[in-house]
This record gives sequence, C-alpha cells and structure tokens, in this order.
Amino acid sequence: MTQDELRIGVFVCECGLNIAGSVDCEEVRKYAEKLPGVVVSVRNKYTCADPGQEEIKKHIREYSLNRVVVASCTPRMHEPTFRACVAQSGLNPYLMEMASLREQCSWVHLHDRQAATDKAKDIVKIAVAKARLLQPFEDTKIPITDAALVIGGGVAGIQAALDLADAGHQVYLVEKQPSIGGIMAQLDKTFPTMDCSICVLGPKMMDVGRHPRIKLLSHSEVEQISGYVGNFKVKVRKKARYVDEALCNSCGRCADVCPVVVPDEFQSGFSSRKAAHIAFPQAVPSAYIIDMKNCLGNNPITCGKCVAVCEKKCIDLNMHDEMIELNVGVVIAATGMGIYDPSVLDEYGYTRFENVITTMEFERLICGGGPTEGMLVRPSDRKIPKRIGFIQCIGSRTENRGNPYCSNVCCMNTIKDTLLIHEHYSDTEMYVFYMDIRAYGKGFEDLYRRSKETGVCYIRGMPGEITEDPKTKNLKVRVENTTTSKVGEYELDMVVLSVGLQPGDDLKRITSLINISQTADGFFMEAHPKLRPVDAPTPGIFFAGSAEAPKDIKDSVTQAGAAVARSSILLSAGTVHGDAIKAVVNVEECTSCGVCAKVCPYGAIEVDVKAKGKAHVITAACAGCGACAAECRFDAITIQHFHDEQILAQVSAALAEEPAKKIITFLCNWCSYAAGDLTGVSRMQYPPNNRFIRVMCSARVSEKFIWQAFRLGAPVVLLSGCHIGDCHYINANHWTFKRADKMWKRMDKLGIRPERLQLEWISAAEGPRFAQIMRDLEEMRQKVTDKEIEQTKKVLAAEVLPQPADADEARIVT
Amino acid sequence: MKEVNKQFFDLQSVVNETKIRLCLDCGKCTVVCPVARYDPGFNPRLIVQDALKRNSHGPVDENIWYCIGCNMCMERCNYNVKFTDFIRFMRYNALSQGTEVKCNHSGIPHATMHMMANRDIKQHRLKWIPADIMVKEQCQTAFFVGCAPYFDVIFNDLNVKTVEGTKGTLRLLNHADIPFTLLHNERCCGRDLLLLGDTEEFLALAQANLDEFSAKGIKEIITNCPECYYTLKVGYPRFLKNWNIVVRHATELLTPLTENGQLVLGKLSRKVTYHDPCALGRYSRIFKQPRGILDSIKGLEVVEMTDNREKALCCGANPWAYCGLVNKQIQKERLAQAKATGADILVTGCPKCQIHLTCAQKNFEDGDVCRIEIQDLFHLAAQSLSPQEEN
Repeated sequence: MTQDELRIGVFVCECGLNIAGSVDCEEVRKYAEKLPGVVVSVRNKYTCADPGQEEIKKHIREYSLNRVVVASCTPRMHEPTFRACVAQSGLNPYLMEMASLREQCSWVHLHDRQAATDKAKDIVKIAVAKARLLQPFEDTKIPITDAALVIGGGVAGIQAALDLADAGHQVYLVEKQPSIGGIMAQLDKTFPTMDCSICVLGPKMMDVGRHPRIKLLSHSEVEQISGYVGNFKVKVRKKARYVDEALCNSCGRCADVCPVVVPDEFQSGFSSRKAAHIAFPQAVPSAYIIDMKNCLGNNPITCGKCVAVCEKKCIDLNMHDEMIELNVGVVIAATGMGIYDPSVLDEYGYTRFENVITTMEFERLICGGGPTEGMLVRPSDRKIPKRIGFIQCIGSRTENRGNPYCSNVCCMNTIKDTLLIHEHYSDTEMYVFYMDIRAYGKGFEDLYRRSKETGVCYIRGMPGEITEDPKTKNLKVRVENTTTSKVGEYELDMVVLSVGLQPGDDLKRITSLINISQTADGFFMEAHPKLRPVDAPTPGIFFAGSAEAPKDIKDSVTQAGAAVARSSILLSAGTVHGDAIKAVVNVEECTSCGVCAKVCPYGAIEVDVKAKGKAHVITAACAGCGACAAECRFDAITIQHFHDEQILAQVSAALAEEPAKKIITFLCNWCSYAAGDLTGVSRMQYPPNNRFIRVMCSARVSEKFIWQAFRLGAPVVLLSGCHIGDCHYINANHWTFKRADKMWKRMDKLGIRPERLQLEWISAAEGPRFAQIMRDLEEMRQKVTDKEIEQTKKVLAAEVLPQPADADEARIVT
Repeated sequence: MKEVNKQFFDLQSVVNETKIRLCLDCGKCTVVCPVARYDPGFNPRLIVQDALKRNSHGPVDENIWYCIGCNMCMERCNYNVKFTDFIRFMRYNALSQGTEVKCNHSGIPHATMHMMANRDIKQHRLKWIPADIMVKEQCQTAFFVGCAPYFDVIFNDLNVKTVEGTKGTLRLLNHADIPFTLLHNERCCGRDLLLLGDTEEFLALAQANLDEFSAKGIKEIITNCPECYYTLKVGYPRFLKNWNIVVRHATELLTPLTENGQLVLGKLSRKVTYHDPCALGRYSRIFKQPRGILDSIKGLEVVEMTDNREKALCCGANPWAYCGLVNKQIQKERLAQAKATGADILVTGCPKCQIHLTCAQKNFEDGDVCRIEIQDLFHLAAQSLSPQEEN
C-alpha cells in the first residue's frame, strides 16, 4: 500500500432503532461501499459500544484502512470516543470523520423513510469527501513557565498571590501604589461580621512581604504583556521610590524634617502628610517614599533635609525608574475597581456643601486609624453630627450620570455604617434613603435587622435635592417617602452619599495589554458567564476581584481562590494540550498585508507590515476560529483539519446530484450545530433538503465556499453562527457579518438575489427556532426557479471569483 | 395622517417609548416637581403607577391636566422616564374619551390656534413690521414669527408687547447681515395643542406649515420663540414625513457672532437676571447662548437666580388651560427669586413666560415681592443698538 492510496472504511451505525427506525441503514451501507476510495462499508447495531469499536479496530487491521468515517451521531457527542478508538489501532485520530445520521437525519425526518435514507446517503457522501482529504495531525503541546503574574495588590491580588505561592509556584505581584492593601486597607470595619478591616488584612499583607516565592513589585506598573498561554513575557516599570525599600526601617525621620505638607490621599484628604511619607502605618513594603511631584528637589541648597537625616542612607533623590522583564505562564488580573465621583450630581451638592461626604470619606472619619482617631465629626465645624442621612444608589442603577448596574456592596456598607455610628454614639438619629435594600448574602439580612432594631429610620425614596443653611451648615433634604407618597423635609447635620463602584481608571489600559474585552458595563468580560467565570477568553489569563464586577471582600477572596485553582491546573501540568485545529501560514503566498493580524480576535498572528515580514502564527495563542483564513485574499492561510479544499469538497459532494433540491447550510460548532443537535434530540421535524457543513466558527466560511455553492447550482445558502456577543472566539463572528454584508452587495451587483444567502444567529438553546429556520429555508428554496439558478451559474462562470484548484477532483461520481 | 403616525397613538408603543415601566419609584420627580410642591395631591410617580394599573375605560385622572410640562422630573430621573411625553398621551386618550379641556382666557388662544388649523384661512399677520426692518422677498431661510403678534392683541389687557421681542430679533439679524424672508401664511407651531393632547389638530397645523415651507422652498428656519424652536426642531421631524429643514434658534446664530466680534452690541446700564424658558433650556439644552448675548451688551450686569439653567423654575403655566392657584404660586416664587437677585429686569426669551409672569404680577396684590420689570432678551439686546428707540 502506498502512502497516497486511499483506503476508507465506512461504519454505518443503526443506533438501535434511533437511526434504523427511519433510515434504511443497509441501503446507506451499500451506497457508501461504492463511493470512491471506500474499501469497506460495515453496518453496526451500536458503533459506540465495545463490540462496535472492536469492529472498527478489526477492519482497520484487516483492510489496512487509512481513513475512517463513522456515520452515527453528532461529533459533539462521540468524536473523542472514535478518535481514541482509531488511535488505539495506530491510526492518527485526525483521520477519522463523523457523519451525523441521527441528530441531523433520522430524528428529524421520522415520517419519510425514503427521503431520510436519501439524505443519509448524502451525509455519508459529504463525510467521505472530507475524509478523502484528511491529514494526520498531532495535538499541540506547549510547555508552561511555572510562574504567575498577579496584577493588583488589593485583597483579591493578595489572596491569589499567597495561595499560588503556597501551592509552590513563583509569583510576581505588581501593585501600582507604594503599598499593597487596596481599598480594603482604607475601610474601618467590614460587613456582615463587623471585624476590623486592617486587622484581618494586615497579617496577609505581611505574609506577602516575607513569602519566599512572592516577588512584590510595589509602585510599579505593567507596561507590556506579549506571548501566549504558558509563555507570557511581561515588562514592568518599577517607578522610582527615591528610598531603598530594602534598607529603609521606617524610622520616619525623613518625614519629620520634610517641609512639604500636602493632603493625605489615604485619609481622603482629611489630614495631611509630608512629601516624604509612608502610605499608612501597616504599609507593605514597610518603607517610606518620596513624592517627587511635591518634593522641593534634590538640590541640597533647596532642601535635601531628608537625605541628611537618614541614618540608613537609603534615600537617593536621583533614583530612576527601572524596567523589569518577567517570564510567566499565567496572568491573574486583579486590578480592582474605581469609586463613583458624585460631583456631577448637582442636586446633592457634594462639591458645594462641606457636610455632604462619600462613604469612603466616612470610612476614614469613623476609623480609629483615621484623621480624627475614630471620633466622628462633620467637616464644617468638627462637631459630632447628631442627625445623619445616608443616600443609597449614588451613581448606580441609572442611565444618566452614573452606571446602570447595582454596585452590590453599598446597601450592606451603609447598614454596617449605621451600626458603627450607633456603637460610637448611640443617640445619633439616622436616616437611610433608599430604593431597595439588597441584603442577599449570608448574614446580611441579620445585619439589616440589627440596624433597624437600633432605630435607624429607613425611608423608601431618593432625595430630590439637598440645600444648605448657610449659617449652620446644616442640610435640608427633601424626599418623597414613596410608601406614604408624602414629601418630607429632613434637617440633617451630615449626609453620606453611598457611592457606587465602577471600572478602575486604568482598566481599559489593562484590557489592551492582555488583549481581552470589556462587558457593556466596562468590567472584564469572562470566557463564559456561568461555567468559566474567572477565565478571560484568552487562554492563560484569569480574573479576581472587582475588576470583573463590583463585589465585596468575601466574593473577591473566593474568586481569587478560583483563579488560583484555574492557574494551578496549567502551572502544575507543566504543559498545555490543545487540538490541532490551528492556522498555518504558507509564507510563499503571504504578501504581509496584515489583514490576518487585524481580524484575529486573539492577537495570535504577528505581521510586520512595514518591514514586509511574513505573517507568523503563535500556535499556542491561536484558537482555530479560521477568521484569518477566510479573510486572507491570497489563500496563504490554512486551517488544519478545516482546509479550504476539504470544505469545498464537502460543498461539491452535497451538490453533486440534484443541486436544485439542496440547501447548503454552514453551521458553527458551538451554537448553530448544537442547536441542530437539540432539534434532533427534541425530535422536531423539518424538511429534508438541508445539507450541513460544520465549521468551528462561522467566521471560517470563506466567500469562495459560498460562491462555489452557487456556482454548482445551490438555490439557497445559509450561513449560521452564535449570536453577536456570544461568539466562542471572542468576537470573530463580527467578521462573518461583515463578509455576508459584502457578499450581499456583490450578489446584488451580479443580479443574484441577495436573499439567497441567508445569515442567521442561532444559539445552542434555540432548537425550535432552528427547525423553523429550516422550514423557512425550504419555503425560500421552492421560490428559486431553475431559470434563476442557471442564470446564476452563467454569471458566476464569467466572473473572476476565487476558483478552487481541486473542485473537479473533489466531485464524486457514484 | 393618523395612519402614518400610528405609533404615537398606541399605548404599548407609548409605554415603550416613554420608558415608564422603568420607573424605580424613587420619588425624586415628586420632590423637584413645582406643581407637587404646591399641590400635595399631584404626584408624577403615582400618576404613572395608576395609569399602568388602570384599564383604559376607567375614569380619567384629573391630575393629568395639572402637569405644566416643565420637564424638571426628567432632569432628575435615573432612567430617563419621559413623564411629560406620557402625560401628553394620557391627555390624548382623555380627549378621545370625550373629556373637554378647561381653557383659560375665555378660550381665545385655543380658538386662534384652531382657526389657524383651517387650511383656507387668510391671515394678515405681517402688518406690524416697521419700515426699518429689511425682509427678503425670496430667500431659502425663513424667520418663523410664531404667535407673538396675536398674543399682543389677545392679552391687550396685560399690556405685554411680545412682538417687540420679535422685532428685536429681526433687527439683530439685520445688523448681523443674516438674510431671511417672512411667510404670509405661517401658522401656529401647535405646541400648546400637542401638550394638551390634541394631537390631531397639532398635526393639521404642522402639515399646513410644512406645505407652506415646501411651497416657498424653505431650507432653513430661524426663530426666537423657544416653543416654536423646540417644536419645529424636535416635534416636526418626529411627527411629519419628509421633514428636512434645518431649524436654528436665533441665539445659536447670533451668539457666536458676538463672540468673534462680527456682531457688536451697544451699551445698557442695567442689572438683569435671565429666566431660562423650559423649551429652550431643559428641553433644548440651550443655556449658554442667551447668556452670551447678555454678556456682550456693554454695561449690563447679569446676575443669576437661585434656580437657574437645568434647575430653572418654570414660569408656571399650562398651555392656556387649567391655570389655578398652584400655577400662580409657582409664578410668584419665580418672581420672588428674580426680585431677590436685586436685578431691575427679569429677562426671558419666551413670549409665553413674559405673558404668564406679567399675568401673575396683576393677580397678586402683595405688590413688592413680585414687582420686577419683565423684558424680552432680543428686545433688550436690540435696544442696546439704538437706545433712543426704547419705549
């Protein structure tokens, strides 16, 4: 047997009566036997069962088969089974092709045995056509660098770094502030257990500082991330601190002598700090920093007092930023959140009235480590406020001047604050103005009840405006109590705006660094909202904390743990396996135009357009959607296992006989094909005229496949993929849409009715809709006249359109 | 015509369009609503709630007639619930169920509008134009006069001279070399009828105007009246097919010219405060331009009332109907705000604000609180050009 000689074995499964009930399997078997290249055709009762698999193995041995076609159920079910089966007989698993007789034929054409049998023959013929062009591939194996980058040193990043390091992996924790700790470090107490925030966070911060496998890069920013899963190259800018953090023993003498006084950000500006300062007493690394924006300068004539006074000689005012390069296998993005700025809400006068403050400012005012050492005073006169109002949903649940979503934590935070105030000053009158109190978590409702028990007055209604008495600086809050529909006016000493959470300022920068997307709310978009909630769509990148959505401390920590577990899977395995469905560039055809790099949702193709460097696929980053191959005008990109020639052969096979009766249907593997399977499982019936061709993503479908179908006399073609926004390849199906749009315009120009190319987004759950679309397509097909088809063929024959080289060869004669 | 604009009459599309189901029941609207402030029985939130509960055959909620359409509720609403649009629809419904509108001023303003909706009417509406104003016979740009000339006749007893504002605008346009023509057969823009729910008569007026514009080949319209401006700019494109005329408010043209020095205004030594008409301010977001005109008058001191720009208090009146004590109290509050600034003149850009606030002054005997001169923005600006013309 020579290498080139085709020896195909076809195995027709009866699946009990599931297939045999409405398809004459013996007729299909006989038909398959006569197809070119087929040396043996076998009928099984249950091909997937052990005896069935043994049959396959036996025939591979006896007939020296080098291709196998299993005509049974959907490949989404048993492709792995049969791949393993042929591999056990020494055949490369990629030389096995499946024909779905059950979901796509017997189950959906229960009442017309002849039509179902005819369609089954076509399905087998299409599979054999592809099988003839199958090539062996090895699954990809990529080595993984056993190290992780954690971006962001808030509670989520801290937890992720500690867990990963404890599991034995090297961790680089990059924090842009001079100290780790994040927002949690600024909070006084935490809900629902009312424990002290820094008391529980502080020890964890210190653990990070001294962990042998954590390299903490504070006051640093990630500037570039390149590479792919297992092999990321990271560039970090370690900004000059002007203090050697290893030497500094936090004696604080530099701050004592520093003459520059500026507002202290950590204390929400309620107190001051020096230019030489430490972020807060529990800071990690426990080292001072010189704020160069405000420092008088390193000229000893101007100042230089700190340098003179430092006993450890660790201050260097000429320090430069340092660039650090890291190699890591995974990235955990825990970049945290931003806090809504209520300045634009003119009705609440945050910028005009001193005694209107935000929740973050309140945290510092009530905190023992705060500017007042825990004495709650109002800003205008430093008196203890006796009447305090909280306004909820500031910047949340709105379509103007804020964000549309619920910020999750503000209700509970306010409830916690009321209890704190009650603890400190039990005679304080408190009012909470709210729309809904969302106390959904463990222990939350209990805390709410305790707050109500203390006499806090919860008023359902949002204040329309706040005015200030210019003399007393007291605030008048006008609000409709919507439970009584009465408008009331409350005179209060202080109002706390319960501000919402929003994506951090630099989240956009981070998304562009690691090539991931944002949801409509602006937070990180997960690979799957239910089943892969901490994975980015790009392999090897995970999320933790509020960068993914607003969440409280407990959820941030939980998510950090999940991200660590997901990361550990990769880091511990040492290698990552992937299927062989990848893009490959034929450098001889490549013109370095750069289109492929532009369309790749994963940034997995590199082209140096200026230097005319050829396109290069980063195999590990490539997910195999095929958008690049479909968009390449020079046919320079091949998608392994989904070659142009293979798909064209399938189209040709489907249209070999009576093309005017066939509808060519391209289905994406994840949604549309799955919807077709669901239609089958649900036994929804539809006309038997469709011929299905499976691709991984609708973006794989080149124009030439569709032109080929029309040229061969297809009356109608359907292009179908996941709904926009649900694409399994981030957003590759945007290119499907653009391509269809382009084709419609071209068809219109050529005098071909654009309606003959249909585009439908069908989700995996839309079984009934799939069946309806099949019925609609059939109705449409019947309206396409023979004359019209002939006209199209003529027009297309004259047009210079992408012409497949082996179209004739692939046309099978029976 | 009713066919074409079916979506404006169908409950479901109005509910979707006005987003009233998104109401979070937060009550911010009630707090800022000037009507609710003086009439505890009026609650925009509850009107919406009741309307959604009530089946369409229930009795008409009397409250729907008291909304003054100032749009302050929309200014504060988290979800952009279009309450005033919904009220308009409820009124339309009430009218189709046979409710009659209780008109003020003996129904004369309404009668005038309805008369103009008659296609065969012959108007003599341009006799007031003084000889010094240059009007082009043929021009693609038309100046839309609005009802000011009629108002001055109808409200003769108030001694308002709203047409002086129109004259002032035309003089400023002349001064800035902006050419325009005037239309002999212009009709009322129809805003008051639209607000009161008489959508069909509004459409009749709108169509008559469109026909007139088309017949004269008008491509651009300038107007000084905020209500005409908003209606032509936003209302007509929404209700009429084939509307493609550019609409500009006079301040949009004039203010940039004063800023770049092409239009130089004169001197007036007065202290004024500017009252934002709802249709120009909250509805059209034109806050800066009118103030720009005032700022370019030399010697003029401009002070702001406590409630200004987005928060400006409305002149308090309904479209010539259902005017009562609540409206008068709103007007009184506004006049008191103006008085409290210490200004000599309350300047407004809207003839209706001028009429309603003047009317309020007549009604209150406690004199001083509300005593303040009321003047039109353009009239004032034009006076600065030739102070001797001041009357």
